[in-house]
Amino acid sequence: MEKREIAIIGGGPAGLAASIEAARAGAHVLLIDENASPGGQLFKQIHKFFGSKAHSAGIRGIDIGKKLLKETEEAGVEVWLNSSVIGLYEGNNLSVVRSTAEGKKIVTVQADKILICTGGQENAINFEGWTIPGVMGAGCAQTMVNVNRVLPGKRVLMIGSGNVGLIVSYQLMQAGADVVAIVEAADHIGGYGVHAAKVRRAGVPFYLRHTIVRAVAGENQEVCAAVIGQLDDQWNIIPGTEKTIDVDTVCIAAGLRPLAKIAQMYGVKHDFIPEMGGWMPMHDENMETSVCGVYVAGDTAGVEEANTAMDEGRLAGIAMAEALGYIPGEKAEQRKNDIRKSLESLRLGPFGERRLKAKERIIARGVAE
Amino acid sequence: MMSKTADVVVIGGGMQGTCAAYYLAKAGQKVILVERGDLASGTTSRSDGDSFINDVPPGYMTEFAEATIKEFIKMDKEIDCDFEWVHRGCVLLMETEEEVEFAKELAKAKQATGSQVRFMDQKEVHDDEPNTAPDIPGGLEFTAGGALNPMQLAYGLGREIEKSGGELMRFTEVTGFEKDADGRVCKVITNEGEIITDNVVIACGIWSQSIAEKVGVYLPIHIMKGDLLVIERDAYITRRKTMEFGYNLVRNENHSYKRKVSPFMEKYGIGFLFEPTNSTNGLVGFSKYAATDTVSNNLVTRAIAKRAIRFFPKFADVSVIHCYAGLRPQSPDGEPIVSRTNVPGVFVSAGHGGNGIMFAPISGKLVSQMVCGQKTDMEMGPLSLNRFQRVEPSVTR
Repeated sequence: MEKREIAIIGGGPAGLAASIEAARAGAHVLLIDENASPGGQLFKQIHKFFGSKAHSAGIRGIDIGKKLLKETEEAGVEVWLNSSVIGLYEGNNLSVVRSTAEGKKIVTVQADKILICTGGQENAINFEGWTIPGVMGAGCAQTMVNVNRVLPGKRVLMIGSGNVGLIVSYQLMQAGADVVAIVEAADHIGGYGVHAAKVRRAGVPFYLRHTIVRAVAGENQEVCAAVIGQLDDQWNIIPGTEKTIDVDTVCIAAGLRPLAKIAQMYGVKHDFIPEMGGWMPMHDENMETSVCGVYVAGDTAGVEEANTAMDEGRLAGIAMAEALGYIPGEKAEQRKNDIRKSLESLRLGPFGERRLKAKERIIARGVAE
Repeated sequence: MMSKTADVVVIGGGMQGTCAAYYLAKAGQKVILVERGDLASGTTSRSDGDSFINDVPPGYMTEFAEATIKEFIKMDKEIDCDFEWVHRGCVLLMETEEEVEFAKELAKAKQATGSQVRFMDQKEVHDDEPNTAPDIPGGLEFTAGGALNPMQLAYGLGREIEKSGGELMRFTEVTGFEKDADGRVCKVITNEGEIITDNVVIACGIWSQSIAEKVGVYLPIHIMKGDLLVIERDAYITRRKTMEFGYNLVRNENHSYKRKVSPFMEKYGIGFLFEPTNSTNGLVGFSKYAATDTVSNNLVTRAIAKRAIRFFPKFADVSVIHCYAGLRPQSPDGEPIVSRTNVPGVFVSAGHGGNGIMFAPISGKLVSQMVCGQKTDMEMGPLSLNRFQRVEPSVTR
């Protein structure tokens, strides 16, 4: 069994930010990521960020990722890549399938403090043919295009017009695919106007109050068409409105939910918070959960975006270092308060305010049983 | 808050509580079931689910087990719920020649009281299931008994209780009791108001002891933790529930027998069981040790996997997709407490240890018969609370 002061599961924006803060304070930090390189979703984000200068406005996600990686290295964080945490067990024991020169082996790591920042997972929609090759999550298509440089298809139908649906549509078009239509069940476009305008200008039609009825498999058992239909007030498909669209790829952008299985198996208290993606671990103002010494941050602690994930990661990193005695209480409190203010400023506007209220509700209800 | 009235208040919405309330409601009693969380939210959702006569020693406990299997079969026909009852018997595997000798004797003893059990030699075991490790010297085949989904059953019984006019008070906590001048229980106090009643059944698993204390009943129950693994779908190991024989031998017949296991396995009470489920995700167990948390222990789960591979080497190539742990409420002698108490009107169905799912129907039926003042199907002495003397809780851990 290996022992560490801090183990961080997931090397996305939250995990990188947390590991930098904690390691700079002097703690021995182990960062574990199942991918070949850390960075999480940042390396898929080739677009520029919005917001204030303090929150990396105008910088592309991929460049923020590179900067964080460099800082992680400088701070002396120990990083295990291609390594999956398969469970968290009694006594803060993590089971890790670790990649080594001799191949994969299962290692037990016991850590004083554990941060779970494994991100979110895409919601699926069940419809006839949803398991046919060619139907995929929008995030999956984004990884294929922006990370692996593989075009998932030539003619794409996007289900969902939230920011993910809009941004991925645009990036698929930049990569050479034809986005044939964007289907949205609500009566309005879900994402920011600026993203919607870009795809609209490129001539992509939006089908509002529509949904996918089925995906159709061709001779090769892959998607060859999709049928969409219009919805009535009761969200039922209006007979006779079905329309067949010739596509080879269907992308589902139906939102994300917190990925918190590790926290759940360790008995961390959860609750259903619809604004943050649903069933999620509860945490206090230090990102600590109902289990002492176990923290959450980023999409695992409620689906938001990269900037809030980085801030929550910093908050957790400082709180863990403080709890281990590396940062004196008063200084830590001041730095944590600065980050809390920064988080508040990120949760403004019609989109942010719902999340701000949800976070306030989570912290007010506390983590005690 | 207005007070309610009931003939009987059942405390606990797990397997024991829902079974007791089901039989009481069927007997025409006005039942209110009070549950702190949701139905099946405690040990019931953290167990395996089966009912076999192999788990108990010959004699009274075997009769008790046979009676409960009959109740499961009846329930499967009577209630409007598919609780995935599969009645296909089970197999116990021996590890050594010494165990084979014990097994042959046990088979004779159980056959003498009418149980359907058959000894299988090495060849028969392997013909029956070629995946069995080649050196397994023998097995016992029990025809009676089956597996079920305890959560489905608890919810199904919940609906039956409501259909019979009973009431489920979920997310309701019992905070106290009142007794009348004669010392008989007359009121149950909850955070959702009072219930006026003549009878109370305490059937709330690991919380039974603390609830019993509130009404002045001493209930000796200690808590044992058990870990289980869930394997991937469609990984065929064997068609029937299969267990090791040695563990039961030590528990039921020969306490001085030592299994060929590591000190770690001994310490954590690790034994082998495999239970194919309706969803084809088989369950692999088990462990039994004193602990009060439900977080899986990776050293224990690893030892369970090792034990499973001992009996079926094929497990080495099977993926474990999940593991979970639950707490088993256990009486000092390991057998259930289905009993009246020193407080008139207060009854108990608790302390079933690792056999709670299995014994729930017959326990519920017997407790219902006691509450209704009917003649019980079985003699109640061996299950009585009187068999324990009041001792401080540090005992038998």
